[in-house]
Amino acid sequence: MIRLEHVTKVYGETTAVNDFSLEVAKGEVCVLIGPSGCGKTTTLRMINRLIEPASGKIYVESKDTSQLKPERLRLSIGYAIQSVGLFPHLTVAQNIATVPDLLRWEKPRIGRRIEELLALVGLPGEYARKYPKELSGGEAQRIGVARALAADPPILLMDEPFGAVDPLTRERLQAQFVRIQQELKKTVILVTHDLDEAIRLADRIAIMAAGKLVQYDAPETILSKPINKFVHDFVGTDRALKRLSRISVKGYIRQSPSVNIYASMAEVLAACEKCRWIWVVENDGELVGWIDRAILLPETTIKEAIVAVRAEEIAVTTGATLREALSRMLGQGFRSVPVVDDRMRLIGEITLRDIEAVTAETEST
Amino acid sequence: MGHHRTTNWVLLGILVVIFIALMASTELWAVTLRFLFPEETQVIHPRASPLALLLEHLALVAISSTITILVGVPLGIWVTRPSGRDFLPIVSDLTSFGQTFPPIAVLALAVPILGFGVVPTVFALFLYGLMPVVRNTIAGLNAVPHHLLDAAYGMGMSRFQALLRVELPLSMRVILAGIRISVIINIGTAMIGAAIGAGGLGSPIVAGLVLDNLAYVIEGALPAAILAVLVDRLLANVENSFAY
Repeated sequence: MIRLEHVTKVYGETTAVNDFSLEVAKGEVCVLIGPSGCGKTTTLRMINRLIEPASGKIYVESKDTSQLKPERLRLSIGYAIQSVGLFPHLTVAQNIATVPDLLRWEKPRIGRRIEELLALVGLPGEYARKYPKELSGGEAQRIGVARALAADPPILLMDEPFGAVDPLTRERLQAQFVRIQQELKKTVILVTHDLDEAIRLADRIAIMAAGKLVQYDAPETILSKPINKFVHDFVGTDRALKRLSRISVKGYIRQSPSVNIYASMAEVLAACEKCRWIWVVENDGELVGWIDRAILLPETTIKEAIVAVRAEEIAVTTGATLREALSRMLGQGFRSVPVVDDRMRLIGEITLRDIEAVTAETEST
Repeated sequence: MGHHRTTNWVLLGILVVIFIALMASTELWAVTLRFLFPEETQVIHPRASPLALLLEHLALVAISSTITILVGVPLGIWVTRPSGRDFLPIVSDLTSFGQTFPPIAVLALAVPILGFGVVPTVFALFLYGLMPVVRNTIAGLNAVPHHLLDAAYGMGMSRFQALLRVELPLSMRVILAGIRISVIINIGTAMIGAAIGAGGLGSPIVAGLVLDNLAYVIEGALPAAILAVLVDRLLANVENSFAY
């Protein structure tokens, strides 16, 4: 749990952070976002006292941070930054061991922890002996996160942790972060200027401008109900699309007509009396293709009429978002997209009309 | 890379052994110098054997360089800390001044106070060698990227822990380069110690110049030159083991 109460920071004439209050519940990810110079990094750095606030109180795990020794406080807070800041003279293992070492953990315990963390961030154990200069940008960022998590701190502060990598790597790292966070349930404050990143990672987004908190809400709410013109402009004209990336397909799956690939033509015709398209499945339910009823003649067999597809190319899984479903539709030129489970068995479909209804909700506000 | 380094060390080791063996063989020196300078009545300086002179010389350099390092590195560290940053300009100026001041002048000024012999020589060498050490310590520490310190402090290191674990290891190569320059300067400058009776390889040179005996000059100058080259390579090797 992190709580900021009326925190202010002044640099000479300028007020970097102005009467800022915020509470992040245990296990939640709060993303601080705003235009550059809005005070988001200053706010983050006041939490672990790399910067001292001019006034106001900051509580971490219910303790007033101003009463703690700064080093003591920081040892209990994970810290990951954009430049990563891996120490070039130390191996990956020694880098990860930094905080456990400062806390005087015993050697075998540190060794076990390094193995655990490398596995957690998806890097092979051999990486322990590598030096930072031998790592790619994405690998270095992952080691940076592993190092921040090393002593299992309940709280994590991250300053653009995925900023310095290419878009593809960034997306992979974000997906990994979401997975790790689901497992570890840390209380996280993450600073970014990338709205898509905020929407993808946040439980709640805090939008800052000129040192003040403008809106603090769940991403869905920020996108559907921006509190004022500033937030409205900040989230942009494509906020409807952004909002889709927060919504799981799960709530929108419709029953869809399907037939077994070994069924007779009469059964096919019976199954889709009113519809034009019908999905075709194997005996075990695996999606194998679709049939266009318009080109169906009574004498054709399913084997002749089927448009065979690989399920993973056209379908989405239940873990997907509406945005992914929409991009599949646009990519294939379909008005619906099949939803499959992890063994490619057909569950149902998502229709373009339902997605349009969701975006209309956003636009009307 | 590792293989290359090992080869370097082995090669240097062999050269050092050969050098010491040559220096230990007074007889060889006598025969060679006698051959080169048949007209001189004496070719080996009577003060001590070549090896003894070398060891005297090394002692002068070792003592003065040790003091230089013990004073220079902490001084450089101190003026890059918040507590000493105000003193950075004055320390820079003073150490530069120490090097612009000719060591022979330091000797002339030191003798009335400290007397003759080793002590004023070590004092002059210390002053003269201080600048490269202090300057490189400051430069090395200032070159540590700021984001690494941000990471170090952010993870909970105290200033002292960050200095030991991050700043010094990362600036070690630059600091060692300063020490190398300082030591090499000292090997050459230590020659003048002979003028006030500190001994070392300067003794035969001073005597040779006074007596117009070229054999004496060679006896001092040649080992000093080789010593400078060997020590330079040795310290360069140490330096390279801190390349990141």
